[in-house]
Amino acid sequence: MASDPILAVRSVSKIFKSSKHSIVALEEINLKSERSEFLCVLGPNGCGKSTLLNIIAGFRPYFPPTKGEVLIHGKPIKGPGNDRIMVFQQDTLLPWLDVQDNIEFGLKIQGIPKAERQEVSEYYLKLMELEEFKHKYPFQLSGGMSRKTELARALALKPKILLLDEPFAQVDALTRLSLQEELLGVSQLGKMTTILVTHSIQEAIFLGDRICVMSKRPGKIKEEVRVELPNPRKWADLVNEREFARLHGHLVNLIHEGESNNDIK
Amino acid sequence: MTLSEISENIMKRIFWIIFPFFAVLLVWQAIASLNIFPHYLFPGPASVLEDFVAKAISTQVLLLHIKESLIRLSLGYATGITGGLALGVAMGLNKYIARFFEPLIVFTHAIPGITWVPLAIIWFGIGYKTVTFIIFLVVFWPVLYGTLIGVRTTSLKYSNVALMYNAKKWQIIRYVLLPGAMPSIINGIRLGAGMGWRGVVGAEMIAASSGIGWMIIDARSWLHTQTVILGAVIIGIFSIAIERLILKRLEVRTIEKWGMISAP
Repeated sequence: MASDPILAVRSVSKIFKSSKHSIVALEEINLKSERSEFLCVLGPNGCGKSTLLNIIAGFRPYFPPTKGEVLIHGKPIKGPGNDRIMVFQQDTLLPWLDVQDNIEFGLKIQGIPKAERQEVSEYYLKLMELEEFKHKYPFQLSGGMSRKTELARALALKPKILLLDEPFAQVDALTRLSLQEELLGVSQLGKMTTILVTHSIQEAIFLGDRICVMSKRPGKIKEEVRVELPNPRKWADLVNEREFARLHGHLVNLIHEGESNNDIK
Repeated sequence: MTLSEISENIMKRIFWIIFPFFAVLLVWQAIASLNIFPHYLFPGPASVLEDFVAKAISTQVLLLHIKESLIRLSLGYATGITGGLALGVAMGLNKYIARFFEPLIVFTHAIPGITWVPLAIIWFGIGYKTVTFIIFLVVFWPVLYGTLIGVRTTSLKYSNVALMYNAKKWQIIRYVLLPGAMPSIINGIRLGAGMGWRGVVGAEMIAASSGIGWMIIDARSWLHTQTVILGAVIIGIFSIAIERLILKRLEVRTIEKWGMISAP
C-alpha cells in the first residue's frame, strides 16, 4: 500500500524483567516517518533511546518489544533485516578485511557479483574521501576514518532506514564536526529515513529535520520538535543562526525539566 | 638506517643463527675425536654427515624414508586439521554439540597417542594407514581446542553485523568465525605440527617398515648410532622448515597483516 509510512512505531513498550525487579525502559512510544527524512532521538543517558533503536533494528534481547509493534511499509518486522542497517557506537569493522572489502561486506553477503560490488565501493570510497586508504586494515585507521568506513558499509546496501546509535560518540570533538557535516551530505543523497540517537543537543539540531525528545525512566517521548533550518547546513553558518540558539535554549529547558523532576538522588 | 647498517644487521642475525649450532658441532666433534668413547656409542658429526651422504646420494634410501614419512605426515595433518576445525566450529556454534562432546573429549584427550598404536595395528595392519591414523589423532586435539577457543572468543559484535546483513550460517563461519579464530587456530596447528612429528616417529617405530621412525629403530638394532642421530637431525630440520616455510608465512599473511598480533 502506497499510503503506508516507511516506518511506524506503534505504542511500543519494553519492560526488562530480572529476578528482583523489572525496569520499564520504554513506555507507549509512537513514531512515524512518512518520507525520507533525518530524525533525531534526543535524551539523557538511560532514557531508553538505544533500546528503541535496537527494537527498530530487530535485535535481541530488545526485540520483540513487550507491547506494540514496528511496521515497515505497513508490515510488522520479525527480526533484523537488511532494509534497516545500523551503525553502532563501537567499532565493528571486520579486522581481517581491508577498508574496501569492509565496505563491500554487506553486498558480498547478499551474493552480489564482484564487479558490481567494486563499483559501489569505489563510489563510496570517493564520496567519503577514503580512496587512499582502501587497502588499509581497520587497525591502521584513525577514529574518524573508521567511522566513515562504517558509514560507507551501511550506505552501500542502500537501506530504506539507516539507524545510527551515537555513531560519533568516540571520536574527538573536531573530527565529530566534520563527520556530522559529511553525514548530513550523504544522508540527503539517497532516499531513506535516517534515525540518529544522541545525547548531544547540538548534534540533534544540526542533523535533524525533526527531534524527538525523550524523558528518563520510564522512557517516553516528551515532545517532538521540528527543525526549521535551511539545507545544506554548515557548522560555520549555523552557530550564528538565531533559530539555532532558540532551539538550543528550548531543548536545554526541556531536558532540564525532566532532570529536576525525576532525578532524586 | 643506512643500507650498510641494514646489511650489517642481517649479517648479525645470520651469525646468531649459525654460530650456536656451529659451536655445538665443534665441541661434539672434538669430544668424538678424543676417542674416549667407542664410535658406536658416540659418533661425531663428521660420521653423521658421512652417513647422510651415503644414504642420501649413494643409495638414496634416506630420500625414500623421508618421502614415506612426509606422505603419512601430510595425510595426518590434512585429516587432523580438517577434523579439528570442523568439530571446533560445530562445538563453538552449538551448545548441545559442545555439551555432548566435551566429556568425551576430556576422556579421550587424556589417552596418549601411542596407546592407540596396538589397536590401530589390529584395525589397519602395519603400514601407512596405522601411522596416518596416529598422526591424525595427535594433530586433531590441539587444532580442535584452538578452533573452539578461537570461535568462542571472537566478539559477538562481528557475528551480529553479519546477521544484520542477513548472513547465512555458512557465511558467518566463513567470513567471521574462521578469520576471527585465526590466532588460536594457527596456535593449534603449530602445536599439532610438533605433535605430528612425535606421532609419526613413535608409530613408525612400532607399526611400519619404512619412514624416518623405522630407520631410527632399525639402525639401533644394528648399532648404527650415526643413523639414529641422523634421523633426529632430519626431524629437526623438517620441523624448522614447516615452521618457517608454512606456519610463519600463514601468520604473516593473515593475523599479522590484520593487526591481530604484533609483528616481531
